[in-house]
Amino acid sequence: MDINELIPSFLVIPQDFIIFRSLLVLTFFLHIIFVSLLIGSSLITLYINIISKIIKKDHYPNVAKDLSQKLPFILAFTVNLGVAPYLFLQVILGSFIYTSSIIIATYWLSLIFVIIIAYSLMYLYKSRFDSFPVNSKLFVTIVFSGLLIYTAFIFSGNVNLMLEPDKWVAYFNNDSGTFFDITNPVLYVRVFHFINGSVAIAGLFTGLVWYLKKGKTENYSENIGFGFRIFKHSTYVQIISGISLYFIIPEFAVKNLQSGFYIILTISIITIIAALALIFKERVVEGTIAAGITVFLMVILRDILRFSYLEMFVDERNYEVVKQVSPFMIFISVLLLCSVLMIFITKKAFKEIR
Amino acid sequence: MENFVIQFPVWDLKFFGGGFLIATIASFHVFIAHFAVGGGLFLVVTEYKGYKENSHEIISYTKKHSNFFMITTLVLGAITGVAIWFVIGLLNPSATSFLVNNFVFAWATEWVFFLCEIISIFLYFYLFGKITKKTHMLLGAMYFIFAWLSLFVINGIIAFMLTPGDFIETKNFWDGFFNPGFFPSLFFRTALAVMIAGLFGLFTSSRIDNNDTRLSMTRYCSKWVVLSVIALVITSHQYLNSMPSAQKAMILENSPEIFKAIRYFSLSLIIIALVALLINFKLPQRFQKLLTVTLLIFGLTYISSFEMIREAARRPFILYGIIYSNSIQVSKVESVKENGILKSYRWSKNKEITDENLLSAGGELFNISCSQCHSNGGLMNDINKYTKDYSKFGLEALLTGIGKRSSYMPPFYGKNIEKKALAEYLFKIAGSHETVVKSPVLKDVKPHDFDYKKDNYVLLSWTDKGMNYIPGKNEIIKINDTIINIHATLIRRGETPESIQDVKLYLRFENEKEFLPFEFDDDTGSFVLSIETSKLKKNPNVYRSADVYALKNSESLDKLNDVTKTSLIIPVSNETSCYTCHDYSNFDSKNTGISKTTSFKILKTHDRLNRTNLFKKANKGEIVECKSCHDDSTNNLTLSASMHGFHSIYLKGKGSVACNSCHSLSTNGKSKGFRGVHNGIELECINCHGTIEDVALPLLLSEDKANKKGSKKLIKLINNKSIKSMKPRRPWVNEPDCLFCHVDFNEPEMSELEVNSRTAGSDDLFSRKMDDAGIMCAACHGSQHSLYPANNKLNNSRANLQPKQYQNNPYTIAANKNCKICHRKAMKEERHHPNSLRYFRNTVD
Repeated sequence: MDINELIPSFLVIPQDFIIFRSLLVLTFFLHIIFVSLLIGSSLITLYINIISKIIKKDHYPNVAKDLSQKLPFILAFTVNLGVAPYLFLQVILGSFIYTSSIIIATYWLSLIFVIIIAYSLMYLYKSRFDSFPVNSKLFVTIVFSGLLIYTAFIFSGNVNLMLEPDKWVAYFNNDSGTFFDITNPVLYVRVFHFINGSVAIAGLFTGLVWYLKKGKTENYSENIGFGFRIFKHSTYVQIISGISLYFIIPEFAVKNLQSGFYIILTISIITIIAALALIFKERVVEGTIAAGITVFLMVILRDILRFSYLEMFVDERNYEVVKQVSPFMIFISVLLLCSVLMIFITKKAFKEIR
Repeated sequence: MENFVIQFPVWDLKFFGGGFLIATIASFHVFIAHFAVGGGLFLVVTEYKGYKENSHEIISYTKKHSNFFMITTLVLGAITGVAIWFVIGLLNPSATSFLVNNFVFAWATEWVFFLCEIISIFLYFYLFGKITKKTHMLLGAMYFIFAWLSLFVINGIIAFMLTPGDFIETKNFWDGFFNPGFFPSLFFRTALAVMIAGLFGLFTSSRIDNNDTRLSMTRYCSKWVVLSVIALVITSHQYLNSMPSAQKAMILENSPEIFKAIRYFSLSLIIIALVALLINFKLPQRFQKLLTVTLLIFGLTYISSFEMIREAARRPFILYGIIYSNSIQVSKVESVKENGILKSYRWSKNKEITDENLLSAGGELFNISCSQCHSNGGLMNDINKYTKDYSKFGLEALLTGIGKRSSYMPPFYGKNIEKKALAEYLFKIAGSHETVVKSPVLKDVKPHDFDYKKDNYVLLSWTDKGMNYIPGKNEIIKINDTIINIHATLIRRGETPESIQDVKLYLRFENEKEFLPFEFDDDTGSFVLSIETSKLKKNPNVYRSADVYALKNSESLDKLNDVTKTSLIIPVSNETSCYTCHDYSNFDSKNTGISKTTSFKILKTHDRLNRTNLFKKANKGEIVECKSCHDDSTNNLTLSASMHGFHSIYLKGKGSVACNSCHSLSTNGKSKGFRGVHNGIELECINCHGTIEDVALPLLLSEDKANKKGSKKLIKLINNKSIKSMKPRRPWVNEPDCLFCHVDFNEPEMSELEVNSRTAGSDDLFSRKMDDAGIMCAACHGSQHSLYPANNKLNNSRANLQPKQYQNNPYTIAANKNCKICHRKAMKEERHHPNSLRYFRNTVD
């Protein structure tokens, strides 16, 4: 079977391809930061609850409480910030993402219920943090962390399947949306790389939160240390898992990678080393920025890799562009104006508290 | 290669198909989403009220309510919104991608507003009491403005789906966004958002423990509800009236499921208004709480029924005028017609249909064409509920007519073989079984004797129709006149034979004792006996034999041995086969007439399509007589025009099969009524009558001339290219004319009907026509559809009785120059009609 025949025709796009690709990268960067915070923070609270259970004593109770209070909000922003990249992805790669989603439809749709349950449990965890016994806390964190890992697994599975149309033929044997390519080793390494990266980001976030509370609360230095230690160890593991991921990626995709990929990869290795060094030297803000740049570069690498997977099928010159100028300008203007307005009102409100 | 129109694979949902997923998720989402808008206004206005009245209780209530509001709307609203997006992407990716690619910047703008909503509401809730009142209220106001702007943007896209306006021509973003439904929908949804905010306000304020505060707050919230109910009545009317005529007609007339939704929509609003008024009274808190829950349930009912109406109004499209609900773009219909559905479907497993993969292809066709709206055995729109009453043939007919008379369904654009495959699959999943109709076993009938030398008379008798409808026991629907006219002529033999009138003629049915007298009819120059078929005994219920006796003055009914007599077959049958498409699930292979259950189902369909009330009438025990409405004296179509016209939509292109499927003429049916010489030489119904379209359209043209209701619509739906050349005709008046083919009574040179070649008036009908000697044609040739030599497939002894009696062969009376039957000798002159003195062409073994 000619796989090209299975790929749905591309629709007309209302701006240049590069605009959507850039918007996708930018908004995905924001989304992945929150996704990482969500999963990483959940796993950190889970880790704290496990240790507390083992040592029969509250382990980093303030960190756990602080994260518990933030989790539902992080989830709200994660969902919202996921909308934009998914939207832009659909515009340029709709032929791929709709198809792969349909092939795994049952799992894909199950995410809605999974996220609602996870949110409810996070809310429960937040509001009952002080009254819940450790067993309950442990149970709740196991469940919502598990649900989030399941979500990550399905998301990764979908975006992986989307990149490999030759696997779509599975639909001909199973059209009930219950196919899932669990045999693909890339998926496991990719999910691990993502989850571990999330823990690193959440560790850095924890360290940063307590760093900003320096002097205002007790145990801050322990908590800062706890967060940054997580960041440090996870980052080491992340470098190894990143290398593994590179070697496990199918040859056809690696073959299409050009020097730009390797240059950005090199820069990102430099920035993450810089982030680690800066954090060691307690230059936390700069370290965080360096880590942020690393994540952004990783998002770009991910994008390059995606298109190298799809090189056989996607050529931006094949997209018909009928530009919608005023709607695009309105979107950009609204984005900028609203950003300014929200920064202004947030500053004003917080100024009033002080 | 790029014939593909249906681009994406179809998720086989089976039980959960039929819109179940979208209906459950969407109802919940729109409820929360509207609360998210109206609730913002409610918060800031209530907070202002608290400050204005300097009420700590109100402020405290506002804070609590804002917590509830935030939890409910922020995550549940957002996640269910994403859920709808996921679901539509899975169920109708073509429409979703069309919307996304055309309105991506609207959606992206809405996303920005939503992000601002999240930030504003977090700040509003967490900084409650921690910042100045003014800034806090500004945050609340900002939240509401962003929420309403989200509604503003999404409203453009949702309204576009129903009323795309000029976008279809211009493809311009703004034409699509500010479509004709934009503002009416925006006003309606804004009022709806305010009402739902009031309903939730009542829900939380009924939980305030302080009696005075509770009463004051519930009264306050009640005002929100009552005022918005008034606004909803106005804006919903405005919305309906703003709709283009097609969409409006779909709501008010065409879509059958809408009626229920409209009832729920109206009733729930009335209940909401009444309960909201009731809650103003001092009531026990527990009761108040109960009432507020009731209000929320009715609020959900109101909004769900509104969305259902909106969805249904869009039918048969998912994007009005752009994409059908089964993902076929309107602009690609011709391509689908040309290539078939399976070849237009990128993901087809069965590109070619063979006998082996018929069912599998049918299943695939179901998934592609039906599963977007129909489940297979599921909770919503179970297809089997609609198909179980059809035979396979009926299902094919249904697929031919789908989307035409019932315009809420998309037409089936597949090829005939795809229709067959889908019908096969639908038949199977409905759990139906093929039922074979059994013909009754009839006893032999012997012709009477005739002695050329001794007998002085020839008695001929025939019926004026080749088959007469005989109603079944307790039949509810009376479809036609049920009179059989039996004719008889007594000829005194001689060189110049003479038709005798001073004689008494009687008829007696086989196995019966009663003698029924004939009357002489000057018009036809024959004796006539008219019998109401309902008075006939039912056994046997087809092809009843009878004897006719001619009694001279001296003869009596007591001594019949020497009386001139003949026998004839009176063809009767109750076979209408309506069950084929109306009640196959109850068909027991025996009752081929219109059984009670069949009648009820037909009447329900009639009621649904024509807004009549016949089922109720029949259920009370009244007989429904079709002709009481479908008659020349009314403004309705005549029965013939209506029946042929309506069923043409479904049976178009079926040739004689269409005729056989209803009339008792089919060689596969019980009665096998088409048994005359024309059947013997393998002519079919359409050779004389034309196809069902040829039959229906001239009838409808005649009705249209008389401005009869519904004629134009049916003419349009049958949509036959040759209509321009057709002349109007009247039923039972302008019928096939024998002499059109048999020019000058000769062998025909052609066997196809020219559609306008019909009798000019009823006197030209074969059943009424006489020869040059004043003998009716049927006297010698037999009745139409059983012209001699006939072949009765149930029992051939019940055919040609009179030819056998008088000439011991099955041919027309006096065929093969057998003039001596009446003339006692050979004749040289063609007294009866030209070309009568020759040998019979279509001899039988």
